[in-house]
Amino acid sequence: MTSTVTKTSETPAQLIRQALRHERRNLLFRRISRNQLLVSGGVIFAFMLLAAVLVPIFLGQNPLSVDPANRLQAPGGIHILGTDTFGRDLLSRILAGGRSSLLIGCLVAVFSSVLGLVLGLYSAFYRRTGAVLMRIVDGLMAFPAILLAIAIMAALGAKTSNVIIALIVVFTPHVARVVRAAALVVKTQTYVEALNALGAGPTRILWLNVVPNLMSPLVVQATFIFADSLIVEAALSFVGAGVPAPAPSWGNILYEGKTVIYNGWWMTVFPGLAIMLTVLSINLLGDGLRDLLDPRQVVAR
Amino acid sequence: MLLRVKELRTRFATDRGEVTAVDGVSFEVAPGEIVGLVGESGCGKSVTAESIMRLLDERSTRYSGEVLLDGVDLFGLTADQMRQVRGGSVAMVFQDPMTSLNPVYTVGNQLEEAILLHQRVSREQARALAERALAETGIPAPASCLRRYPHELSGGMRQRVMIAMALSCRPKLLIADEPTTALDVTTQAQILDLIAELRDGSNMGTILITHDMGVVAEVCTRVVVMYLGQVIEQAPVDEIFTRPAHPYTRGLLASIPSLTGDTSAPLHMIDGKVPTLWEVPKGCRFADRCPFAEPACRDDAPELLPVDGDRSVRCRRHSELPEWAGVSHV
Repeated sequence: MTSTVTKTSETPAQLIRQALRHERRNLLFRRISRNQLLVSGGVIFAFMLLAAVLVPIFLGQNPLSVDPANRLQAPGGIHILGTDTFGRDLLSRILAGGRSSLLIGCLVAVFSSVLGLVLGLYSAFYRRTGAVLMRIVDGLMAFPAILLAIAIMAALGAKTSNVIIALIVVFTPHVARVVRAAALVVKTQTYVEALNALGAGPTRILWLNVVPNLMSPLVVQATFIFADSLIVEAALSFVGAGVPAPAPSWGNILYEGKTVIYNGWWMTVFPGLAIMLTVLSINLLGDGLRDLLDPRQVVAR
Repeated sequence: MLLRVKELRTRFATDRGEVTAVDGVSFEVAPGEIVGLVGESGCGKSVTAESIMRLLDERSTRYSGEVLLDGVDLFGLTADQMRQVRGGSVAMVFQDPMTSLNPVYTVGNQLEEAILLHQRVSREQARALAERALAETGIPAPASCLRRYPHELSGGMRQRVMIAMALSCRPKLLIADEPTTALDVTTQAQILDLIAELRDGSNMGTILITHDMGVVAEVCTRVVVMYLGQVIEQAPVDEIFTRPAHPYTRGLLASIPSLTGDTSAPLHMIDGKVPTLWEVPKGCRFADRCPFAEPACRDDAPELLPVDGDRSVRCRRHSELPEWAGVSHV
């Protein structure tokens, strides 16, 4: 009988561990579900993402197939959102454009976050390197984002991969600034000195101990860069320095729509709406994440 | 002798020129001894400790003198060798337990990291060692404490964790930089007891930095009093309290508030304020605030000279001073 008892009962340590884990998971869930910004942003963003990825499969329309007989059809019928000046299906062009816009935004957010993290981190901890890097960052940030991106595109040539490179160059300085500011605060914390006093090397201190403390400002900054890069990419494509035709992007659909704005309103309104909704949802997500990740909120709620 | 600090000088390069924060400090720590390093804020206590461990940014700091740990000069070591010493044979506990633990990792992770830095053991062994180190500090339920994050612990518990971390690799020398300043009085007493207890169990030498003479009286065996970057008196703890030789030490003792007797009497204060490091007086550094100063004191700087055997004092008039009447309550 005693053996069955020992088999089913758990040690106090295990019970405590379970209880702690349970409590933390519940708390996290409550904080996420109470965060209206995060939830509404997340729902809209998920909707846009799923639409861009899944709907084209069911739609069965080629965003590139030209049909001159059916040019500038109003919304309705098989072309739900109408057709453009070449008779291409607008809905599938917007969705395909959304896929490339979201992919570009995502890549830009990831790469500029990583690059900005490295630059910001080392310039916070190494004063000389930092002084040089931050002056370069100041210089880059002195240009308006779009002007700088156009200049880079002019130098590199109109290609989707060059759009990504241009946007990474534009946005990395912003991340580096934020990371450096946060890292300068972490640097003065006693635990960094305590780690030194324990004999930890600089790489271990920076990457294993400082970086995790920079994650929340970094993640929040990354979402805003995602949103910003959607807008800058659309603007680039609108002025013809972005994703080259015939590949669709929200910016170049708007550009084509501009010339027919009086007889084809749908070519301006729908891609515009797509940009607005997506950027709004990402900004909401970013604000929500900032609230969620801010450690002071734990005490406040 | 475990630690021998000889003529330690620490100079910082600043925008306004070079300042000497620690100016020719010498003292010794024997195994099993607790040496109190006392003085008011800005006198160079913490810089002395950080210099011993070479924790200051070496691009803007210049050290001279010798720090001999078991006869090995720490200033002669390479950065890698120094890293082996830090946390290995010399460990440090800091003043503010609220910020001395990394908020993103559990206590267990941080203790294990400290152990893995210096000992060739597996993760599981490190975990067991971490639990043992924590248990030695008398923390209740060490196993569950290991899984907690720093913000879930009280100040006293965090300081115990810091002590466990410092002692996990069995250092020969522990430097405790105001370990009790940020804690309430009851917890202070517990932490001091713990430090004294752990010293008894090993042969570890301890440097206890503090500005609290009460803390000194409670645990220290010897006291080094610092003023403006220099040692001005050192003596066994009983001597300091019964026969303080330097006017500054006397001033420090007299300014401890009394718990008994006439509590309405104004508290003794040392006149004036500590000069900054840019305006160090030419003669005795304390002369301008000293009630016993004579013109000669302001002209040439006194040496730290031995008096009756195992104590020394930096005051040219120490033999002429009136007998120390003591403070009524000490």
